[in-house]
Parts: sequence; structure tokens; C-alpha cells
Amino acid sequence: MILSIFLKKKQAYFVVSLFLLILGVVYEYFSHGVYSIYMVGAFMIPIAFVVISKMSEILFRIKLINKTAYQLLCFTAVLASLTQGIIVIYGTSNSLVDGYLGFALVLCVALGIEIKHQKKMWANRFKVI
Amino acid sequence: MRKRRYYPVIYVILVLAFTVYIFLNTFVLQQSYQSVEVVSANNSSTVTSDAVSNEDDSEASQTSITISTDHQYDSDFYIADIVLGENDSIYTALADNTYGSNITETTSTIAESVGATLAINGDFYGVQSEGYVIRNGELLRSTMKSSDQEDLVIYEDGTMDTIQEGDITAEELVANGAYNVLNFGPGLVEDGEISVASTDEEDNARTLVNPRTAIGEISENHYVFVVVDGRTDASTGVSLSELATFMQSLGCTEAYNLDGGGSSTIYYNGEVLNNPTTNGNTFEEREVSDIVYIS
Repeated sequence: MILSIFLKKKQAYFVVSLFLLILGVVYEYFSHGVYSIYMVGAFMIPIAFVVISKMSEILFRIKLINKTAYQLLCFTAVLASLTQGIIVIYGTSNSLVDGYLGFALVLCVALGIEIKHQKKMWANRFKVI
Repeated sequence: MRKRRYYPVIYVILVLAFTVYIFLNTFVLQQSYQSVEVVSANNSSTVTSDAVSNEDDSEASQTSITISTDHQYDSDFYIADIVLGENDSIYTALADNTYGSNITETTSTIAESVGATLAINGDFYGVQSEGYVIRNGELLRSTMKSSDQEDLVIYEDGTMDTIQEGDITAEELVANGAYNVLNFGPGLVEDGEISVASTDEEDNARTLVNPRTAIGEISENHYVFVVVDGRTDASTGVSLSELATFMQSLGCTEAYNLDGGGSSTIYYNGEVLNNPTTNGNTFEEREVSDIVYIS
């Protein structure tokens, strides 16, 4: 999957972040004097995911950035932020946006399984050695 | 292996489909919750179509409407001074006579459909899922938006009051005789005093000056509808504080801010008087959920 291959690289997160920054600025420019922190701040999400991954690598030796569920979590967070931003700028609200939390929860479980699976693989590899 | 390769693809498709549904639900799909009865000169025994006049014909009728314009704060103001006749009232109407979401029409279309002489845009209740909606005595939505949300209550006798939703339920308002409750705000003038600070602005608004629509009560049966053009070099728009000061200068004891921006429209005798604009470049009426009108 293109997204998966692309998001395995740290630089890709910064490219996405830069794209979101430009998108946020352009969208705000045409938003008739209404702003939304979800739109302006969306570019922070990929950066935050890189930072969290780095911290996880240092503290727990788990490179989250390589995990598919982690990449999808970042994708979902960005999408949720942009969606909420557009809705807020329009001056409305929609409780359906909370549904992204359900997606995020599923991905957190998937991430946990992925990490557990990888630990098992490493353990088996050491056993063989 | 195969399972791992395809689950991200399926997930992305699902989450994108969900996003598309959110946008359709928010902006496109019409949901009718309830049809409402039109209250106007055509079907109300208490209001007659010839009860409305302009300045030239004030003696021959009960209700008089005086339209004037003003230029203050680098902005064009359109003022409708209304003195209601004994049996007349301030009415509200919904787009397509239906209470629901994404049901919109221009102010002039709604006004024409109910036979309004004078109309301004209302509170655009349809873009919010919460906040009290009471129209022509009918309770349409009773969910509180927030405890400090300020609503304008117009009672059956025409008196206006600004309340906070946390202080009273929608059911209690109906029981107390609330005929119309408009849910935008904030209140501009309360008991003759300005009730907004100079830095107050609608949530998420980046600029303080915008096109505005306001309604106010001067005395018994004496009201004003005010619309301010904005977002152009000729008329920049006003802040809530400036609008409140203006409403107070007109003698309002109660005044309330309605939906503004591109929604701000004033309609009189078949014509839109102001220059409604969303972006400052093109001028056209925005489709809104509701209007406030004089029949």
C-alpha cells in the first residue's frame, strides 16, 4: 500500500505536515474571517506522531512509525481534524465526528496486537539463536 | 500475509466513506423533522395584509414601517423602524415551512412564501444541532446548547427578553408564554444597557467586524430590525460592541444579534435592500433556515 510505504519514512510525516500547513493557511484565507484550531493545527499531528514514535523508541525500543496501525492512526487523526475544522468553519457541528474515536480505538487495539506480535517474533528469533 | 496487505486498504476505504457520509449529513442531506404551520396575514385572523404601510401611508393602517439608512463605523446600516398595530406581531418562518436540517431558502424566497412585507434573516438554527428552537408558539427543539448560551425570547405580547439556556428549560419558556425563541446571540442591549464587551465576538471568528443582523425593542409594540453590510471597502462591517452601541442609540431597551456574515439580509416590499455577501466579491443572498418578519 502506497500510504503504508510512504509513511514508514519519517521525512514523509514532515512532507504531510508541510502540506497540511499550506492547506490550513489557504483554507483559513478563504474562510471569511472564521478560524478553526482543528484546521490551523492539523499540521502538528504528523509531527506529534513522529515525536511519540521517537519517545517510544527511546523508552521502550518500539519503533511505532513502522507499524501499519500507527500510520493509520495518524491518517485518521489528520482526517478527523480536517473534517472537524471544515465543519467548525462552516459554523455548524456534527456529533458524527465522534465516530472517529471508534476508528482510533480499533486502531489502538490493532497497534497493541501488532506490537505483541513483533515482540513474539523477536523472542522466537532469540530462542533460535 | 494477504490479510495484512489488505486490511489497511479496507480500513482507509471505510474511514473515507465515513468522512464522506459526515459531509453529506452536515451539508447536503435534508432531514425534515416536522412541518410547521405558516402564520401570516393569509391565514391568521389577527393579521391583515393591509395592516402594513410605509411612511407615505401611515395614517391609513395600523402597523407602520419606516426604512432608513445610515453610514457609521465605515459601514452601511439599514434600519427598519416598526410600530406594530394592535393585532399585529413579529412572526418567524422556516424555509419550506419545515423544521429540519439542510432545509434552506433565501430570505426573500421565504418572505415571499409567507407574504411578508418586511423580513430579516433569523438565527440559522439548521446549522446547529443544539439550542432552543421555539417558533410561533411551537416548541421545535428543547436541547440546551450550553448553559451560558443567550437566546432572545419574544413573548406573545411582543415583549423581548434575553435569557441564558442554563437558567430555564425550553418547556418552561413555552409555559411562560414564549412565542418565538431565537438562538444565536449574544444579547447586545439588556434593560437599556450594552451587554457585550468591545472584544466580544462569535466563537471562532477571526475578525471583529462583520456583516450583522440585529433585532431590538424600543418600547411597547415599537421595534427595529437592523442589517449592516460588511466585507467590502464600501462597508467593512461592525463589531458586536459597535452594533450594540448603535442599537442603544436607537433607543433599544433590548437588542439581540442574529446570524450575520453572508446571511445578513433585509427584505422589504419585494426587494432585498442591502448587499448580502459572503466573500466581499460576489453579492447574492445566502440560503438560510429561517426569517423574522412583519406580515
